[in-house]
Formats: sequence, C-alpha cells, structure tokens
Amino acid sequence: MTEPFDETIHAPNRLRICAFLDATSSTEFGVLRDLLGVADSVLSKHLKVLQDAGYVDIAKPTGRGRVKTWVSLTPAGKAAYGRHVTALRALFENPVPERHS
Amino acid sequence: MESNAAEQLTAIADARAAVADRLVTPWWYHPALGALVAFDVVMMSFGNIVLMCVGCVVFLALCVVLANAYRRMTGVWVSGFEAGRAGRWAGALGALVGVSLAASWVLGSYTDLRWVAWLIAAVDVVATIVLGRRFDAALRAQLRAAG
Repeated sequence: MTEPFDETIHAPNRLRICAFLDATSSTEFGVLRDLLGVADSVLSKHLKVLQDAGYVDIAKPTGRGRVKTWVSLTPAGKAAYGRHVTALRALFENPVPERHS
Repeated sequence: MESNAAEQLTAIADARAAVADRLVTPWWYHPALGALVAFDVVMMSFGNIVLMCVGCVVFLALCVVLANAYRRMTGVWVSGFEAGRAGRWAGALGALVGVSLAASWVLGSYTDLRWVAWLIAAVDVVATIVLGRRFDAALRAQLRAAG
C-alpha cells in the first residue's frame, strides 16, 4: 500500500461526509444530515472533528431569512480524502495475504 | 480488512450517487441564465461605455442571485471549475459568452449592424440551455461512475 489510511476520515460517517463534499463545491448542513440520517448534534460532532483537522470549512452566510450553514472541503481535506481513497482502492485491489503461524 | 475496504468504496459510490440525485436543476435555471447572457450581449451592442458597465454589473449581480437560488433549492453547489471532465461544458459556455460579448461590443462600437447582436443574443439563449443541460448530464454521469 502506497498511501496511508487517514484515521480522521476512516470513520464511516465521516467518510460519507467527505465523499459527498468531495463531489460538490459546497453543501448545506441539512443535506448532509439527511444523507447520514443522524441528528444535528451528531453531524455537528463529526464536522467539528473534520474542522479541527483542517479538512472542512463551515460558513454561515449572513442575510435575511433563515441562516443556513454551508460546508465545504478545504484543499487539505481534498488531498487527505484523495489519499484515503487511493489507500482503500489499493487494499481492495491488492488484498494483504493472510499470515499463518 | 479488504471487505471493509469494499464496504467503504461502496459507501463512497453511494454518496456520489446521492449528489447526482440532488443535482436536479430547476427547469427555469438555464433559460434564465440564457436571458441574462442575452441581456448583456444586447447592452454591449449599444457601444456606450455607461450602458456596457451597467449591463455587466446587472448581469453579474443577477448571476449571483440565480446561483444562490439554485443553492437554496438543491442544498448543493458544484462549480464548473471543480466539476472535473464535465467542466468542459461549463468552459465551452464561458468561452461562448466571452466571444459573444466581444463580438457584440465590436459590432456596436464600429458598425451599425445592431440586428446581428440581437441574433447573437438569441443564439446564446439556446446555446446556454443546451450547454447547461449537457453540463448537468455529464456531471451526473461522472458522479454515478466509479467513485
């Protein structure tokens, strides 16, 4: 395997968040919540982990009406996600042989 | 471990397919964008610097309004600059708009062929709808292909 797993992204919900964000320029918080089928608080915690790692940007544009939160992957997040997917593909295509003692 | 990798790759493909499902452009979006392009092309054809500037400002401001309406409706935004291979269609549209505006400005500044600018504007409405829909279709197909 040439690329390492990223433990921050590896968690299933965070992987799905990153996969969705990688395919978009920005995504509304509620869309991610519906994708995962989780409560707002659960999604917020996952986003906080990704934000602390420098992988996502969270923006709350000001203006009239209900304020919506928009989430996007940072360049560092895109790079980390790309490396993680490369590692997954390498593992899938070249499984590690089982060791027998 | 490899079965876990397979599950994760499947989850990625599902997430990308979910984005494709979300990217359903409202029917009025491309006609409205085409009308804005046509408006700017016609404004350029007057050969008047004030009208040209007003046209550009109104065009850009309404493009932002249109994009924000799309974002609010779908909850997602994919920039043509970040769309991978599908971005070629957005690039083609951008090039068409650039050439149209330049041609209209030349026509308005150096000739009396104002009707040609109106013809360009009409062509741009149709081209914006066609290229915009091509972009959408290419992007959705790209997202549904292997993640």
